[in-house]
Amino acid sequence: MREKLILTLGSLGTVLMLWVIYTVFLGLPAEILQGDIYRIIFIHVPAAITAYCLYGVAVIASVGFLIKRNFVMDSLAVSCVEVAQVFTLVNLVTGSIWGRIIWGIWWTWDLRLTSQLMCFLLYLGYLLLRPAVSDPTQRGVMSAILAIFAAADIPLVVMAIRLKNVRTQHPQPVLETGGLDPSFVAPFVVSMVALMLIGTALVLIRLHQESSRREIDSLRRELHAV
Amino acid sequence: MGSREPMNRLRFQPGWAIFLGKAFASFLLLMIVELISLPVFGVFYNVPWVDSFFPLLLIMVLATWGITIAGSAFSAVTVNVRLRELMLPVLLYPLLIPLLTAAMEMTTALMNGESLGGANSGGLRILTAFDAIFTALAVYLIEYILVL
Repeated sequence: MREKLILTLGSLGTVLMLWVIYTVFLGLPAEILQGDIYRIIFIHVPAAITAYCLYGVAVIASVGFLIKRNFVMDSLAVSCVEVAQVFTLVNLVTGSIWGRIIWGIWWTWDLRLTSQLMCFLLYLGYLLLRPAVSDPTQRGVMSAILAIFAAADIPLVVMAIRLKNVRTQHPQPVLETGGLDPSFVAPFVVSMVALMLIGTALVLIRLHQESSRREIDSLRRELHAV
Repeated sequence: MGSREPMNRLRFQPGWAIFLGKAFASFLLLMIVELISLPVFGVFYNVPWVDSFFPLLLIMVLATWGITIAGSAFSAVTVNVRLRELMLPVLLYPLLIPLLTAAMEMTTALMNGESLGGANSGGLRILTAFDAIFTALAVYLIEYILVL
């Protein structure tokens, strides 16, 4: 049942993503001001949005773990964070490539880029902390607290380009200001859906691995007790 | 849930009181160091701090409190962890980046003779928001860390 779900979500996501890639590269013309590099937005922004959704699920799972001490919640949190890290990395790298073409620089320390990198580093710290703690309950509680602390950065990333009196180099928002051409909207939304489906499939795979790990750990403890 | 109650009764003060006490102590220590360093920097590096002393003091207090509260919270998390001397900076420094960046931008503006209002107020808002959010989070979550 689980394998079927993973397979369905994964293949649906892949098919949609293939449609997006086909449309974006062959269906759309070059943009007026940017030329061809603008096509990267169809991966750059949906990857970020998917990452934030997954971080949000991780935070909810972390809070749930603190309240209920259910280790499934802890596994869900770590799975979501790991997959979200991949999407954040995709976001950072595609943004960097775009910046190299448009601005001539790979990186700048403006608020949005810095806070997104910070989000990546914070959750990297989360993933580094987990192996350093041997007791599962302690590990779960500390990871949960860290996940909640790190999630406080995400509103900063989203609001960075919308704050007044803060100088940023990153382009201004286009979704709510109507700056996106109507022919771009469909590939954009489908790309978001596709990446979320792929992300969900990856989280489910990781969750399955986590439950196997917990089973192995409990068997090991039983063996040591005997 | 029931098995944790005896542990709470062994402590005479609530966890957040101990934590805030530690944070205040670190804050005072850092403020003393900073207030001593300020004239020293003024002498050695020609930093014009006298004219804008009170805005500078405001930024120092806000930024120091942010560093202290985040540092105390993370030190409580990492005290029982392997490689604790490594984990604390690894976890803390990314978190402090917006705080330190905003404080540095504002002190630069102050040293250049500008005021903190208008175009520079964004940094002040970031500092205040950071302090408010992390003080609230740390005080609320510290109970879960200290029970371990």
